[in-house]
Amino acid sequence: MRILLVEDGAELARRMVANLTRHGMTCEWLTTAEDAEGFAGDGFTAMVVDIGLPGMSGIELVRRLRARAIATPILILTARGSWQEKVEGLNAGADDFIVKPVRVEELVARLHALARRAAGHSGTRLMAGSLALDPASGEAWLADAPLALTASEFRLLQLLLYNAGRTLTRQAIIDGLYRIDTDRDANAIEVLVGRLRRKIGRERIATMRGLGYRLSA
Amino acid sequence: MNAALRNSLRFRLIVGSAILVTIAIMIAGLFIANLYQIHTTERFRSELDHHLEELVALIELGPDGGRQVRQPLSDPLFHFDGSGLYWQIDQAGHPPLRSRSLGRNLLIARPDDAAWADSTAGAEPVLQRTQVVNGPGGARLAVTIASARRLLEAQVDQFHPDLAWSMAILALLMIGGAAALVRFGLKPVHRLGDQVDQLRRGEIGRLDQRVPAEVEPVVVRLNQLLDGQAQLIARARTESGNLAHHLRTPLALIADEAEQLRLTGHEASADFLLARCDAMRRHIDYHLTRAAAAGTRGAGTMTEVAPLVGQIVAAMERLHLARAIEIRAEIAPGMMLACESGDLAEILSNLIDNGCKWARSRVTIQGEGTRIAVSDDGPGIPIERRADAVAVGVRLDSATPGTGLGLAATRDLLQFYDAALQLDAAPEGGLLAVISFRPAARQ
Repeated sequence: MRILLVEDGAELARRMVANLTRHGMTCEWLTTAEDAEGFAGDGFTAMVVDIGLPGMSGIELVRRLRARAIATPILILTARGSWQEKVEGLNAGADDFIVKPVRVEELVARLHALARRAAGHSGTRLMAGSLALDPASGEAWLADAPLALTASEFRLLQLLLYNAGRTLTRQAIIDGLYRIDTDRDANAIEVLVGRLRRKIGRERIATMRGLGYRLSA
Repeated sequence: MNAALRNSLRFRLIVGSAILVTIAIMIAGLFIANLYQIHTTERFRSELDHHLEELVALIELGPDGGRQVRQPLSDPLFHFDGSGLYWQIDQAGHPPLRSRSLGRNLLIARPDDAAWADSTAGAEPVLQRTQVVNGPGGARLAVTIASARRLLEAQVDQFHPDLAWSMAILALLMIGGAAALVRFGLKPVHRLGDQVDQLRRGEIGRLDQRVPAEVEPVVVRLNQLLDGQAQLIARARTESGNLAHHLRTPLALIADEAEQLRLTGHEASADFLLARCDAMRRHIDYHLTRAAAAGTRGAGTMTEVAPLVGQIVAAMERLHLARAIEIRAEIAPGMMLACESGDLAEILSNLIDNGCKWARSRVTIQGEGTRIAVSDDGPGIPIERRADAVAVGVRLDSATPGTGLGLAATRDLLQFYDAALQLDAAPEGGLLAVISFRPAARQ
């Protein structure tokens, strides 16, 4: 899961990024709505936007992204906790809100729920054929048999399941699994896809020549 | 008569005017009555003078050397006994010559005084005058003309009731006029009162300053007061929001530090800190909501319910999209509530969000008059636990997200507006939450 966090409080943001990363998410962090507006269309699974940003407010950012038809699920962060602000945020196009102080488990659960909903999954598990994955518990199954996956394999399978039936470019997979400011090796993706194929069946992940990979729905 | 009426400016002006008009009319009545009496007496005397002249002209020498009146006087009253009009001619050495109307009575001639004087004819009071003339043959005659006082008084007495009636009608008309004048004069004050009512009902934001010069300073100062109050409310809301922000951010860091402790194996410490963080967050929410609402008390704004509910419903449908809750709103067109829009949004959002969290498939919002009912088809709350539902920090079911302060904050917000929250069983089985405001008009 690739998350864009827009939060101006450095200490809080640093901790949130660390927490989300610990829960297997790839989290990019920006401090202003203006920066986020230019970066938001870059294939994020979900966005976490603080309402009280300096300059353009979080609500205005949400409004502008929706006006640009960017459908990425957005969770707004509010420190004031008033319903008026929440209603305004939701009507601007946000999908959910969370009031500071944020509990990590709650934030992670909300983000998973938003991502599942956006990907068209109704239950708590992500499903594609006989494949199933529970983002909250970190477990995956093939025909009801538990799969033994490494953290990277689990995150790749989760990314593919969120995009089941759609072709993901190598770049999108790199962005989804690794933060921009880390060493990112395109060859590592091929190795990772190969390992996952061995565990879930080669035919499930199709290589689209010159384009990327697709998990059959 | 109640104290409020006695203290009313209109009552004082009208009663004051009525007293003044009555006194003025009474003085005028006495003055007019007096004038009439003087005028009538003058006219009376003038008529008697004519009769006297006529009498003198008709005196002639009689066969006995005495004097006689050649023919009866033109006024027939001289010929009827006791009619009230009399004459008498006195001549030395001769019996007095009298009008038939005198009968056996005699007038007391006053030859030394030509002025009008009060006298008697027998026992009857009369007004009389004696003129000394040289009659035919050069004899000195004292010619007296008299009229009974009762004739004059009858004329004056006949006028008094007419005068009294006229004066009474005039007084009534003048009091009515004064009342109309007072009403007209105080109209700007009444208009101001109406505007203050409208202000309280939230129909206007400021008072119209196009008022008479005498009232203008009051209106200007009231408007300044309103501006000041609006600024205070805005500042209170901003301050409470800022306070929330400044409290929650460090709280978020403490909570996160607690999470880190858990990861390093200090679970008991982490749980302790997180529980305290949760309690602090609940109290921040609760008390800041109260503080923000307290600032708006008495602002008297009216909020149109339907658009606000529309916004909240749109937000809730988005928020609870995954559960596909059907939210049905039936708000009477034009329904207004005497509640600041932010506070009403807070109250209704809490109730509707609560309904959505518990509902199986449907939440219904019905609004009419001064009452809004939010019901759901969820499990409801048993009677014995309904009081807990509005207690601070109590969550009836920790599995459903929420701080447990929604209904407590809602109840407290409503208390600021003297409105009530009632929890009941909904017909569809869930919870029915009814909020009732006081009627907006003439609160």
